[in-house]
Amino acid sequence: MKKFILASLSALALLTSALAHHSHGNYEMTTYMEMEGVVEDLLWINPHTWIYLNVSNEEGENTLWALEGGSPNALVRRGWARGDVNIGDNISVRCHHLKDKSNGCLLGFVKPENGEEKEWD
Amino acid sequence: MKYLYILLFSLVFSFPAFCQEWEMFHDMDDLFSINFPGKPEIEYISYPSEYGAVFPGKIYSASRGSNNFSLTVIDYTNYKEIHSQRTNKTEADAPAGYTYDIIDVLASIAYAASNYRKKSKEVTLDIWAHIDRIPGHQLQLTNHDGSRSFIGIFLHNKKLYIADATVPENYPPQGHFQQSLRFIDSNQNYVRYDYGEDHNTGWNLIQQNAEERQGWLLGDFADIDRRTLGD
Repeated sequence: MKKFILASLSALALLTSALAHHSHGNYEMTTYMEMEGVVEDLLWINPHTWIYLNVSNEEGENTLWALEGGSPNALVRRGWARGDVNIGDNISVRCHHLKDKSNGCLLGFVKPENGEEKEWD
Repeated sequence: MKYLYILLFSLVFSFPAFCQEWEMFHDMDDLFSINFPGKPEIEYISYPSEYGAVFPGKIYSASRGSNNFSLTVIDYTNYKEIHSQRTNKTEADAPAGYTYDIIDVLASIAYAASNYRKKSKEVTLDIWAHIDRIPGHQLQLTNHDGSRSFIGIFLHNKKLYIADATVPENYPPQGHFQQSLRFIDSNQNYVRYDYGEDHNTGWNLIQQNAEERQGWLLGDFADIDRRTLGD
């Protein structure tokens, strides 16, 4: 069963990669990083949606992150509606960090404050 | 009356922000679409190539606050004619039978990337990239003034496309500009390729047929794209 699940996940990953509009070589595709923050801006546009997330560290310093997501239609297929995430919302995410360690990340998953985590890709 | 002034003040000062909303821009001369913050300005330029020719080009540019976005398109279509008419030829620079004209086009991505590397302070990302399987190069740079540039360079149908988003120090990465670039054919369809046969020189690219392309477009980009392109 474990083998089947692993094989399915691998096939899904390959499919996602095959369908992608652009290459993802700028991101660390084998690991996820987790973050929580406040949505500063949300670009619900083609070909990719973008969330700008304000993340505070333990010292209270804020950093703005650019998070790349799937197209609006892809998100709708995954069960998202345009109003599910809004500017000012507190959300947590799992995403692939940019390889140069600057504040950019490829989604991944999004979990609204009182909602369920779903793919934002 | 006081509220009227407040309302007018708000309208006047919110207008520039409203104008700078991101919108898809497409150009049927240079056959691309990309997202700009408002309508870009267009500047016509002459571009000195690696092998001594000068090619025509355009810079489409727009700003959002202190963030600058530009797409430079260099037209190598008439590469044979432009190279044959070069007036700066020397006895040494064109040995008989050596096709500098073709090499100039093939080398254009590497040449543009090299120029960016030279003028930057630090290269933080330097990788091969593709958009809809059209190969290119991606760079992330820190410039001497501390600003950062996010660059995508692609060659399609003998036109070189250089997407450049440059933002002040400490601004978040601006990948959304270069990642929104797409290529269009003369029938107003987005171009997308599949990998073909594995040859010794690499995989040839096969343009997807209408059905495959429709499936991809309807699956992901559908409404907004069709409406925009159909205008």
